[in-house]
Amino acid sequence: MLNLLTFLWKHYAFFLFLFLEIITLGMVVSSGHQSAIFSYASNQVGGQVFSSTESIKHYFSLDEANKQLQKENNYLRSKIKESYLDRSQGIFDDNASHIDSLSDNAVFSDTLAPAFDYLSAKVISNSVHKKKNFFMLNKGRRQGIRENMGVIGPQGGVGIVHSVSDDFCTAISLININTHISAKLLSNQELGSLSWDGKDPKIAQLNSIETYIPIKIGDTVVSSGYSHVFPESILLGTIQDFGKTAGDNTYHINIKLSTNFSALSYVTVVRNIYLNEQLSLNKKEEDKK
Amino acid sequence: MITKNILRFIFVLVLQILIFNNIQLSGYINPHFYILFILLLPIKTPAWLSMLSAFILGSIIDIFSLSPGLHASASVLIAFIRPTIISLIKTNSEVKPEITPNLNNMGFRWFTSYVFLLIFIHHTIYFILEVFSFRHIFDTFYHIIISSFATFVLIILSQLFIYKRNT
Repeated sequence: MLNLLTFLWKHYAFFLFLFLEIITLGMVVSSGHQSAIFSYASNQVGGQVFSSTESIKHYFSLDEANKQLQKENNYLRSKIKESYLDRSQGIFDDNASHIDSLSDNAVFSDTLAPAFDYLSAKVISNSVHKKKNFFMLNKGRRQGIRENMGVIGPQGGVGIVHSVSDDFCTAISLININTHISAKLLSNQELGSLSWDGKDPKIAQLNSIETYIPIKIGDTVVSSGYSHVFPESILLGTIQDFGKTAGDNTYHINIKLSTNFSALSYVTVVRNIYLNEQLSLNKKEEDKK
Repeated sequence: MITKNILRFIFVLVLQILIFNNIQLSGYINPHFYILFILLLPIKTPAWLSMLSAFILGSIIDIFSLSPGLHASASVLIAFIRPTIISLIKTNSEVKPEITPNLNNMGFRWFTSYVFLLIFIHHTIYFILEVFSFRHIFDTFYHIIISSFATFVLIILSQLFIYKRNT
């Protein structure tokens, strides 16, 4: 017994080393779904510090943020009903007047029920140089943010909320090797999955597009709307280049991301109002099998 | 001596979190300047103290960079093997255990090889744990080399700054 104790005492440094490494490696391994204590600590503690330092940094990026928001505003303005030319009123047609009112109601009555609502937030911490990039927002559970909500920037989709504390939340970035987002090509509605290979923070990859489908450089890639996280047709990027390998029937497509992740400052969190309904419906279908 | 080390602890922590964690050149370079604290602990520091302080330092950095365990793990490792590295590198004169292994005390050649070896080990562990697979091994290796170099340059520069002032 005494021998054992003296042995332990003599090599205490090594055992302490082993002990500390086991703790830290345990944290590394569990980081896939971050341990609750760690994510709470980093969200609340980190959030307090970052929100005070970021307020200084944001002052210097206001100009750029303004330009981005202006652009987004212009884009949104072009989408509203008043921006479309109402052709039916410009036609010389004696019967046009009564068709007008009918068709107007018919088109818009269906689409008026909103499925998503939006909450703006500020990015207070961000990284692009790691393999698993996250960013932190200045809103949390008290502001109604929950896990798995989509996050959209002025230039398109940027990530998904990953962990939430009382006043802050962490979102997993599109440029994270664990991210997979259901995406489609705007030109032919072909479905694929967007992921990132960990190399260039400006370039992501689109997988599972079959090689018989015609695609070309510059094609737009948008969210599919099937994931229940993002609304349909949120811009993600454009095709930069693509290639095939022999024996593989899907393309290797590189996507130039629409968002510049190193200049992320103001974002919008998307809440899917029907999420629970959709998920429970999915679950019902799975239970039947 | 103790206050000096505590001040250095706070100094590297603040610099790393507020400045170096925000440096994002070309998406690859991520200098880990904070390990300067571990490098400059006095040689005679007991093993438990250097490992525990490395653990605490690494954990705080982890909390602020949303990387659970990565910095802490690599820091504890270099705190553990530091005495071995010190005894491995040849010196012209006898190493006195009570001194701090800095540029003034150890000379340029000794200090650069000491700093380089420990930085390289730290970054290797950090980046391999970050990917947690050997899938992108060449890419990971590129990250290790380029970030080690950035950290090395920063640490040597910071030391040259102090070195000039003392002489």
